[in-house]
Amino acid sequence: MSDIFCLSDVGEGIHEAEIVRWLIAVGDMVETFQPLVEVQTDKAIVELSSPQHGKIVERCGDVGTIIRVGDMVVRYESQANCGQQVQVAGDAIAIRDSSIDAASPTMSMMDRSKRVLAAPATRKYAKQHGLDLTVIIGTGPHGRITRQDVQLALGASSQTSRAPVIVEPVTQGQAPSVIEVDLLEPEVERVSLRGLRRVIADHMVKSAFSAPHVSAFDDCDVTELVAIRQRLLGRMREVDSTARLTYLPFFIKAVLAALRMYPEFSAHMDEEKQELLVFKHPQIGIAVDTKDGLLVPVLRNPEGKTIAKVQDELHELVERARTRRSSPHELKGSTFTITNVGAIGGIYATPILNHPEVAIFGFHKIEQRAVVREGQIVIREMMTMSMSFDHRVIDGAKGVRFMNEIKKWLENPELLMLY
Amino acid sequence: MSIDSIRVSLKEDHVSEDMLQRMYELMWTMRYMDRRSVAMQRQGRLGTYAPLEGQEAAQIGSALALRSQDFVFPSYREHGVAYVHGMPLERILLYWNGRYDGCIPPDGVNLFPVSVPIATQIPHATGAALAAKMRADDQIVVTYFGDGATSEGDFHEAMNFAAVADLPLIFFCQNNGYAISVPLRKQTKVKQIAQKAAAYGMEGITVDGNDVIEVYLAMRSAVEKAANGGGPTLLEAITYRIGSHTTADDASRYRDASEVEMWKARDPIARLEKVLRERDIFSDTWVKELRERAESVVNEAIVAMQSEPPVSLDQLFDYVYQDMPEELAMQKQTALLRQTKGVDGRG
Repeated sequence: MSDIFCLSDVGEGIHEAEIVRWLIAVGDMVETFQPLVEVQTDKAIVELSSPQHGKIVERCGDVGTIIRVGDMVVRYESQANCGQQVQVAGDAIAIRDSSIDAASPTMSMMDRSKRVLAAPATRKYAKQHGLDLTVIIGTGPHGRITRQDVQLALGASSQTSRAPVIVEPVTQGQAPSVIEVDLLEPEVERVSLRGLRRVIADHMVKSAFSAPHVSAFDDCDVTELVAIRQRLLGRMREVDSTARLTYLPFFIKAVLAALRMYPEFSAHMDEEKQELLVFKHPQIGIAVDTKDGLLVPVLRNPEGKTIAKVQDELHELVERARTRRSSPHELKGSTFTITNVGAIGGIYATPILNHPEVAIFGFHKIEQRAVVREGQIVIREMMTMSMSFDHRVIDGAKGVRFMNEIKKWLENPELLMLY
Repeated sequence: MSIDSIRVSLKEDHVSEDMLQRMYELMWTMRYMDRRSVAMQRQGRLGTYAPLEGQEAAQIGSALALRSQDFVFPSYREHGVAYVHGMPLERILLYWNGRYDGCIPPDGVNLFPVSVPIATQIPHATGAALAAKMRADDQIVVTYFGDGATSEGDFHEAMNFAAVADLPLIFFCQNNGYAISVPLRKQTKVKQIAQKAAAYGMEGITVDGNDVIEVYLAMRSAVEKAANGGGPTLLEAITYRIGSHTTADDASRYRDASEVEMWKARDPIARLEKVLRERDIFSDTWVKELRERAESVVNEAIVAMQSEPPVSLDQLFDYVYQDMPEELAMQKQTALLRQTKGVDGRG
């Protein structure tokens, strides 16, 4: 039995896979067919199970690491009695003795070299060229040594400006701290953008650098809305003591009402054809914060639905998004997006459009503030709002009128019953 | 019939208790082997694999109704049919391991090699049925295919030919609702695949493909009919594959989790278990023994597959033509040379 388990082509033409989740730890004993790891390929997330039983002594890398077909996934404790690590150490010493003008490394270097991260192919390549990997600092994720690092190090008689750096061999007795100062790079963790983060990043760049954004801000007196929500919730709780009612359904109703006046805000911009696609029936995207990043599930056909119905549907929708159980079609097809960050905090923001939509509306926190009404200072429940729109198709005046319309509905919430 | 009318079939009265138990054991064996195969593909021990989980009843039920002299022309997902008809599991695994040997059934097992191109096996089966009829053999032919195949020209030509020539042939369609990722409603206008038989003057029957007893009984009468000169039948078994199309597919991209859950609730094995319990022929000891037996059968097949010598490159070339053309012989030579020199091999 082999001591290492390598990635194979798990889907007809796969070249590489990204580690998504480890299901075992180094030191674990695993059984044959015990799931080891989940990896993401171009085609799917697949689970790799162990082809043999044994003790895991090495994993190929942390979550986010990309491994190529043929690379090691895990290494098992050697079937032979002497441990694999011992053999590796032996090899490394042999190389040191026979090649380069290396002396024994200092203690600090030993620390650094405690666990060299490199793919088996890279190790082999280094070995073939008589290079000790413990004297290189890798540029890959978490200091992983890449083939390029080895190549650079091999031709590094002319010192390149950036890492990898060949650690100058030092003789024992020399103060290691001096070298440390030279070598220490600032403490940086490189976090590669993977999975959802990568998707969000691409999406945001596409939006921010295609649509000229304009943002507008206002506040809104929601004293009546606060009271109405309280009354409705009280009524709902009489029927069901666990009933919930957030402000979001009211915001959605206000947006829908405003879209009746200004349907061109529920639209997609077709850049290729230079056309604005105005959707007669708005589909409302709801920005949801998940632990992996932002998702925007879509509330389908909200027109004509009651507050309670919208609340119900929202709850399910948001919950599925939070737990990453949304079906793909739930995350597509919005025509207008709402971001509701009031519960988290902040009073204003400049939201980025949900490409290819042309407007996005943010509702912020509600708090009691002293405001002037008819010459008197009174305490009112006030909420701030932010909105961004695509200036290619919506001018400033119209944007503000749309915002005023939403404000009108929210300040007279009894009207929300109308539609 | 509606696939929503899920109830315990009363037809089980026509099937012996031994047969019911055998069905259960075979379905369990195939499910175990199926899950192991998917895992082995991920481990690099199989090249690719087409999972059948969810379709056990359609496969085991129909294959059990065949006689050993009957000839089977499968597509690529019929591991259950192949096993019941006499193909050792080891050979089935060898096929997915990329071995020519996986195409060769033992002597006396009338099984055609797997056809991966959609619907191509259907005209082959029609030819075999014509041969059986001309030779007046006591043999019928069955060809297996999916819902997608029924939109191919091969299917229609073969249906027409078989009907007009009154061939002893069964067209067995496992309608699992998807042609890879294309749902049935986007692929064909008919509500039931069996309706397509009408166009050729053939009998078309739709059965609940997750009810092993119903499948078995329907197949048994179709076999009897064909064997007695009654001509061909299009038999549609409505079922669902729980897994992906193959190990190179991710079904969650085109199917809702709720849909999969709904079909898991119609699990063919659980449904047969219900029947067995009602008949009082299901006990924990029996199931435990059966599972151990199934696991050891599968595990032995895996070991046997693994102990085969490494696959040789010759096989890629040697069985394409009766007499190898010059160009192919040169290609073979070059390929073998590159292999020994390791020109583009990995280390």
